[in-house]
Amino acid sequence: MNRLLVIAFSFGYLALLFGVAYAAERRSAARRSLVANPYVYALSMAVYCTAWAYYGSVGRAAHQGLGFVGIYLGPGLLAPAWWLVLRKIIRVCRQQRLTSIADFISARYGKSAALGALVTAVCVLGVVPYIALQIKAIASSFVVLTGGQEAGASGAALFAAGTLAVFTILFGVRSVEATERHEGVVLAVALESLVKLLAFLLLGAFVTFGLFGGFADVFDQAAAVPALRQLFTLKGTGTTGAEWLTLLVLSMSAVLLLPRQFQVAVVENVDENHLRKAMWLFPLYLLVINVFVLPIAFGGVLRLGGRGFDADTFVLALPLATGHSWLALLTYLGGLSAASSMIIVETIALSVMMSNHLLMPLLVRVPAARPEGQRRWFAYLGRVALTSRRLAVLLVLALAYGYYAGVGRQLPLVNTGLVSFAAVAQFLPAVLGGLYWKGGTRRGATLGLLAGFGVWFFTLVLPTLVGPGRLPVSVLSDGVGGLGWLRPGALFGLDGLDYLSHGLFWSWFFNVGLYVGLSLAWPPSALELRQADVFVDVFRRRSLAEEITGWRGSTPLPDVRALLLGFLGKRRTNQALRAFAERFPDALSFNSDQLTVNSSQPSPAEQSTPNKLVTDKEKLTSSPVHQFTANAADPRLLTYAEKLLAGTLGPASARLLLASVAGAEEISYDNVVGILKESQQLLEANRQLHKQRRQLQRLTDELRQAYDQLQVLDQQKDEFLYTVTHELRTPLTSIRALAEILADNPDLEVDERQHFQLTIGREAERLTRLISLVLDLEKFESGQASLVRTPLGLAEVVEEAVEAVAQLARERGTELRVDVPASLPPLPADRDRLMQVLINLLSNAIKAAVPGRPGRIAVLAWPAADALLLCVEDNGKGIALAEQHQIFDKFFQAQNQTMRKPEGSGLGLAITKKIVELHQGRIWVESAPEQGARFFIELPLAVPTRAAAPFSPSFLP
Amino acid sequence: MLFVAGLFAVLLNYPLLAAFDHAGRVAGVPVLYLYVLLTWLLLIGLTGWLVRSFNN
Repeated sequence: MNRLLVIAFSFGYLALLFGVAYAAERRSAARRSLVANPYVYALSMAVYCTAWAYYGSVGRAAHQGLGFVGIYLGPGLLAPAWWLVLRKIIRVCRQQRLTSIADFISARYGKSAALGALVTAVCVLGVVPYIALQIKAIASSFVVLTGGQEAGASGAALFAAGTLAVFTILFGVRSVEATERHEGVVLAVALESLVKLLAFLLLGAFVTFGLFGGFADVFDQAAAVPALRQLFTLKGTGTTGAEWLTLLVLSMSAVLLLPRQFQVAVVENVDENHLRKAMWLFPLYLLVINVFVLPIAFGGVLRLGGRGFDADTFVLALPLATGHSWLALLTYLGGLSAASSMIIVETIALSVMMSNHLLMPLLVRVPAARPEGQRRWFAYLGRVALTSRRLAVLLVLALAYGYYAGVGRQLPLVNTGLVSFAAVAQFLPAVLGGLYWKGGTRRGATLGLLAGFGVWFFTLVLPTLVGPGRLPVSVLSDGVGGLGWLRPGALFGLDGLDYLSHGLFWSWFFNVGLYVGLSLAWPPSALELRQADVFVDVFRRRSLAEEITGWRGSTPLPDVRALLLGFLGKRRTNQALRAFAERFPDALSFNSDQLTVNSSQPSPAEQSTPNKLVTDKEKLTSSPVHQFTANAADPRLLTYAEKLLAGTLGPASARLLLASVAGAEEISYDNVVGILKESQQLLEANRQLHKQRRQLQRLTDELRQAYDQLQVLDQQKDEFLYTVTHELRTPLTSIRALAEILADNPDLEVDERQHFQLTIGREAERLTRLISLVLDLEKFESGQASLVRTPLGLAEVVEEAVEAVAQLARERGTELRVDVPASLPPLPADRDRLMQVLINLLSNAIKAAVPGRPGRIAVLAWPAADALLLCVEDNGKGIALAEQHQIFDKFFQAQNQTMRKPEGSGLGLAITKKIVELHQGRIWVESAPEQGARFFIELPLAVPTRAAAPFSPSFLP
Repeated sequence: MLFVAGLFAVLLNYPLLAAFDHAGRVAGVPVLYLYVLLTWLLLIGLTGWLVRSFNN
C-alpha cells in the first residue's frame, strides 16, 4: 500500500485519540463525565489485550493450537472473585491514596522506601521489553502493510514512540496529584479497545465467511493437513497440564498486578459498583475477541503457508494477499490501537512509579542536612515531581525504543509478554498476603521479592541472552560455570517442565518461602502492624479517626500547611483543609474565639471556587487555617496530610517528608497492640453479647410457652370445676325436687311415694358414683394412686366383668361374645382396677349401640411379645377420626353435649386411660363413624422395676 | 462467587480437560475448542446472572 496513505491514516487516527481525550477532559471539567460508567470501565480494562494479543495470538495459535487461550481464560476465571479481591484493593488504595502497585506494596509493609524502589525496578525491568514489543509490532505491521524494507521500520517505530510520548505527557501527566483520574486517557483507551475489537472481528468474519465457508469449512480444510490436525488437541501440540495451569495462573496474576491493569482497574476506577458489570463484561470481551483467532490462524496457514510469511503477520497478510487493502488498513489501525493504548497506560503507571519511588525518596532526604532552606526546597519539589514524571515518560519510551532497536531485533520477542507476566507475578505473594494476612512483614516481602526476581532472571531471562557474541550456549547445556545444577532450564536438576512452568515454580518457591518464613521468624514492627491492620481490615474501619496515628501533636500548624502548599498549590491545599475541617470539626475548633475576629476576611480559596454560595459555617471552618500561628496541629491532621502527600509522592516519601517537619512518626508497640487487642476484645465482647442475647431470647420463649401452658391448664381446671358442679347439680336438683314433693304431699299414694323414694335413692347413688370417680381421677392425676398387683388369669376377670354388664346388655338386646383363651400367661395387675377398666369399656360399648340395630360386642385377648393385648369390639356408631384422641380427655363427652346425648359421667375413659398407664400399658382406639369401634389395651407381662408412674399431675384442685 | 470461580477453574483444567482432548469434531468444530469456549461462556453468563441477583 501507499506509504503516505498509511502514514496519513496512522497520524489521523492518533489525532482522533487526541481529540477524544481532549473532549473527555473538557466534559470532565464541566462535571459531565463520559467516563463514569461501567461500560467504559470494562472497555478500559481491555487494555489487557495488547498488540501481542492482536498479532501474537494468531501466531501462537498457528504453532500451538489452543494454548494461546489460557492467557485470556485466566482473567475470566478470576473475574468472579473480583468482588472480593479487586474491590478490597480499590478500597485500600482509595483510603490510603495509593496510585500504583509499588505504592501498594510499599505502604503495606511499613511504608518502606526500599521496597517501593525494588517493586519499581522489577516493573521497569519486566515491562520495558514488553513495551518494546509493542513498538516492534507497530513498526513491523507498518512494514508489512507498505511492503517496504526493514530499514523503514526504525523510522516508524521512532515516530510512533514520539507521538505516544507527547500524548502521554499531555493527557497522562497533568497534575502532580497522582490520585487524579485521567478521564481523557481512559476514554481514549476505551475507544481503542472498541476499535481493536471491531477490526479484529471484521477480519475474522472476512476470513471465516469470506475466504472460507464458515467455521466448519475452515476446520474441515485444516483437518486435511496433518500438521494442522495436530493442533486440534492439546496433546497434539505437546501442551502439558502444567503448562496450561501456568498460563492460567500467570494471566490471573497479570490482570491484577500489571502496572497498566492496576492503573485502569484501581486508580481510574470511579465507583466500586462498576466492578459488578465489569466482572462479566471484561471476560466477555476477551471471549469475543478470541473466537476468530483459530480460524484466522488456520486460514493463514492454508492460504499463505509455504510463502515465507511469519504467522504473526497473518492478520495483515491475509487481507493483503487477497487484495483487500482497505481491510488490511483497518486491521492495521486495530493493531495500532492495541499497541498504543498499552504503551500509553503502561508508561503513565511506570512514570509515576519511577518518580515516586526512585527519585522522590532521595530528594526529600536532602534538606535534612540544611534545615534553613527547607521550606523553599519543598515548594520547589512539587514542580520537580511533575517534571520528573514527564521525563520518566520520555525515559521509559526511550528505554523501550532503545531495547527494540538495540536488542529487540536480534532477540526473539515472541515470549517477552509471558516473561513479563512472570516478573509481575512475583508481586502476588506480597499483595495477597498483604491483603489477607496480618503477619506478613517488610523483611519477608523484600527478601521474597528479591529472591523471586533473581530466580526469574536466571530461569527466564538468562536463556534469551544466549547467542553469538553474548553468552555461550554451554550455559544452557552445562550450567553456569559448568555446574550442572545451575542450568537455567533445569535448576537444581528439576527436569521435565516447560521453561515457563519451571521458572514460575522456582521463583514462587523461593518468593513464597522467604516471604512466609521470614515473616514468621521476625515479628513485625509497630508500624507494619498498624499498616497490616489498616489493609486487612479495610472494610471494618470506616474513617481516619479509627486509625492509630503516630505523629506527635506538637507540630506547628503553619509548618504542615506550608508543606502542603508546596506540593498541592494554594487552591488544592485550602480545599483539602476545608474538607478535613468539615469531617473533624473538633480537630480545629479550639481557637474559635480567634476566628470570629477575622472571619470577615475571605480566603483566596473561597474566591476561586466556582460555587459562590459559601455558607457561614464553611467560612468558619475554612478560615482558621489562615489564623493559626503557634497552635499545634492535631495528630489526625498530620495523618490526613500524610495521605494527601502520599497521593502525590507515594507513601514512603510522604512519610519521610512529614517526618521532616513533625519529627519521626513514632508508633509504639503498646499503642498498636493495645488497639489491636481492643478491637479483638470488642469483637469478643460483641460475640458474647450476641450469645447472651440468644440465650435470653430462648429463655423468654420458654417462659412464654410455660405461661401459655399454664393458662391452658387454668382454663381446663375452670372447665373441669364447671362441668363437675354441673354434673353434680343435675342429680341434686332432682333429689331436692322429689324430696320437696314428698314433704309437701304427705298424703301421696304409697306406690307413687315408693317410686319417688327409689328415684331419690338412684340419683343419690349416681351422685356418690360421680363423686368417687372424681376422687379417683384426682388420685390418679396427683400420682397418689397405687396398685395392688397380683398374678391374674385374664379369662376369669373378663368373665366376671361380662357378668356384671350382662343385665345391661340384655336390656338393650346386645349380644356379648367372649374369646379369651384360658391358657394366657398370668398378668400382674390390680384386679379391682382392671375390672373397672373392663366394665367401663364394656358398658361404653353397650351404650354405643345404634338404635334399631342389634348390637354385637366381642372381647378378644391374645399374647404379643412380652405383653397381653385385649380388644373390646362393638358395631356401634363409631368415633370420628378427629375425636379419637380427645375421647380420653376428661368430660369430653360432656363438653360436646350439642353433638350427642350424654350418657355416663364423661370421666370413664379418662380414668380407664390413667389406670392402663399406671400399669405401664397403652390404650388406643380404631374406629370410623358408623363402623363400630375397637378399643385396644396393651398390658406388659413383666412389671418394670422402675417405680414411678410416667405421668405428671396436670393440676391439683 | 468464589465457588463458581473454583468450580470452573477445575472444569477448565487437567484432568477434566483431558477428557475433551481428542480429535473428534462436533458440527465441524474440534471438541476441545467447543468445550473450552462454551464452558467459558457459561462462566460469564453465570457471573452476570449472580451479580444481577445479588444486586436485587
